[in-house]
Amino acid sequence: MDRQRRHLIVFAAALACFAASTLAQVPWQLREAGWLAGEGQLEALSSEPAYDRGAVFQTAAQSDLAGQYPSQQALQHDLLVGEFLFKTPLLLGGQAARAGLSCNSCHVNGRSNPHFKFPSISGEPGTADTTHNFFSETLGNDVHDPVPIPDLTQAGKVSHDPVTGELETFLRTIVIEEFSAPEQSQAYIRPLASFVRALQLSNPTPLRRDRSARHDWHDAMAMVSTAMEEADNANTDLAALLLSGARNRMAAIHARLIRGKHDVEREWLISQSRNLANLQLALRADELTDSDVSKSYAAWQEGLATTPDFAAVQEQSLYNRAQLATLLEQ
Amino acid sequence: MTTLKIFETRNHKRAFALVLASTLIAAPITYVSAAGGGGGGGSSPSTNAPRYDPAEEYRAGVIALDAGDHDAAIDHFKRVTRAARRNPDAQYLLGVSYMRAGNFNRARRPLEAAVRYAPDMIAAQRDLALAYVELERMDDAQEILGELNTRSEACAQRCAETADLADAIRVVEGAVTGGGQAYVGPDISQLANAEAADALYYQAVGLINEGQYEAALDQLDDAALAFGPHPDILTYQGFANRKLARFDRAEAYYNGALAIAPEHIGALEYYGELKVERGDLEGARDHLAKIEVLCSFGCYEAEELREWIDNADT
Repeated sequence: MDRQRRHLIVFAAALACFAASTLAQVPWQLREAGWLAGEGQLEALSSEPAYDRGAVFQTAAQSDLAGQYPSQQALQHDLLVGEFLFKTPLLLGGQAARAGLSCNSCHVNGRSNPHFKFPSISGEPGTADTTHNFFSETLGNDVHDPVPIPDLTQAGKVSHDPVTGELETFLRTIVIEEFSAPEQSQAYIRPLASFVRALQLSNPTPLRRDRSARHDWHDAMAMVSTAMEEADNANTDLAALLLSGARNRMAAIHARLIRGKHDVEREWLISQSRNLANLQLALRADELTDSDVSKSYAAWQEGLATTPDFAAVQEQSLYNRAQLATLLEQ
Repeated sequence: MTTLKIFETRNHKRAFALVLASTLIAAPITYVSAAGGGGGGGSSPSTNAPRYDPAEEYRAGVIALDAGDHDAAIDHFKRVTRAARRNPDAQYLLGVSYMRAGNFNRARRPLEAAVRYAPDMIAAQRDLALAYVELERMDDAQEILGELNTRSEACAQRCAETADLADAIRVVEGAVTGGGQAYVGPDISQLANAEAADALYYQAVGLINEGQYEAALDQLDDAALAFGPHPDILTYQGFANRKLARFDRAEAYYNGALAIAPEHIGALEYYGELKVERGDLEGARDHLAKIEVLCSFGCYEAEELREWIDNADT
């Protein structure tokens, strides 16, 4: 074999090996590709299990769960808070938050994730070592023992009976000990538990739906609304956390819009994210002033007047399966 | 000429070279983004510009070396050492590549450089001694053997590198006396295996999470041999040193990471925290401002550094 050809083969092998390495460069714009692997990667990036928020509320409202709340409205609000915390990476701490993982990364819309494969943490796709010291500061057991990621809509080993409080204890262990969240995250366990209970009560369809900018944008908008309700109730830390979830959702949209083609939409998202950042700062200020919060929120609302038509651009973006497939092939 | 044969080496514990900060030439060497625990880069117009990535080149060198394409490996490592002249891993593997190509004369300089920049790197000391033997510079080989013996005695079976030292001494003694086993170098196939190499990094970060900083530094040395001048690894070498209160070393590693990847948010965050610890709040705020620009949609690194600054303020 001549030298040039041998070099070419070695170079190709190098590229392949390097691409397989996590320390290689996962494109920032598709960060979740870093923990989705194998043949199902395209499927996992372009679709998700269907989730019917209204149906989940309705089932919960007709269950014992409703008895824990003074009103249907209070239940609905807590379920929204729980769902959005579930989708917020900053609920967690340490390496999980750095990597951009949320509960939803493993349990997509409450289901399992058969394509989840985090380097060194997963075994087969769809598994995770819950006692690895990469994520946990306290639970590391020095044994690589990944377990299948459970579907939270199905009955599991942990009792959901609110009387026992077993679910709350379990969630606390996961959030704070397994994923190194700060101790104050304990305050958010209740809505998270309600959401997980509601998931199990629901009878979700096995269907999947395409990932869409419309869904992601609606989620972001709903997160901001929910955050502002919390702010009105003086729960400013929770409000700021939910706003981080909204910004994360906007990042997901931004990630799939194409530079050079969707620059206006991308810039608009960044600008609106900055408005939310200012709102977060105003909420976290030592001396909370209504005017600062109002001013920042007004800037966000003003920005909404020029909301791009995401549904119109998504066909030409990485929400489009074919476009995404081309990128992944590259 | 001695017949070469493979044996494994690992766990060289790097001595500190404060010069690390200047190891990366200032030419347009930047890094696209760094994933993994060290944090990632945000998007900016400059990400479209062509960039040279010494870590990627280093990996290509490792793969070529593993495939037995010594010429290609030499080319890759040469380019890395031009970009990161004082990176001991790149110098070492350049030397190993020459040795495997049978060119001990050319191997000598990079191996000497590796030992100079990482005086505790046992594998580099061992291989340099072997190169000296091949070049019939027995006094130089004996001198290294003496250093290895001194370290081994000081270690007195209590160090993490006891076994590596004993192994190196055995090999060098054999070469010096002409009756020992021969050599080729480190287990490159392990370094070339992306999954195994990643695992080294994840294990190191796990040790950091558990507060085992010395052990983490050993593990990061191994990861660095697999990945070369990678900003994620340099960042955690800085972090572990910072936790051991070796602030100057930490700073040098952070600077090393930022020289390769100026937008590495993990390095910016941790370096900012170091500045808080040193009372340089203004410097820390500068870092926070940079991270906020890079993280258009918010990120954990910004939250963490902001908390450090806020806590120091109150």
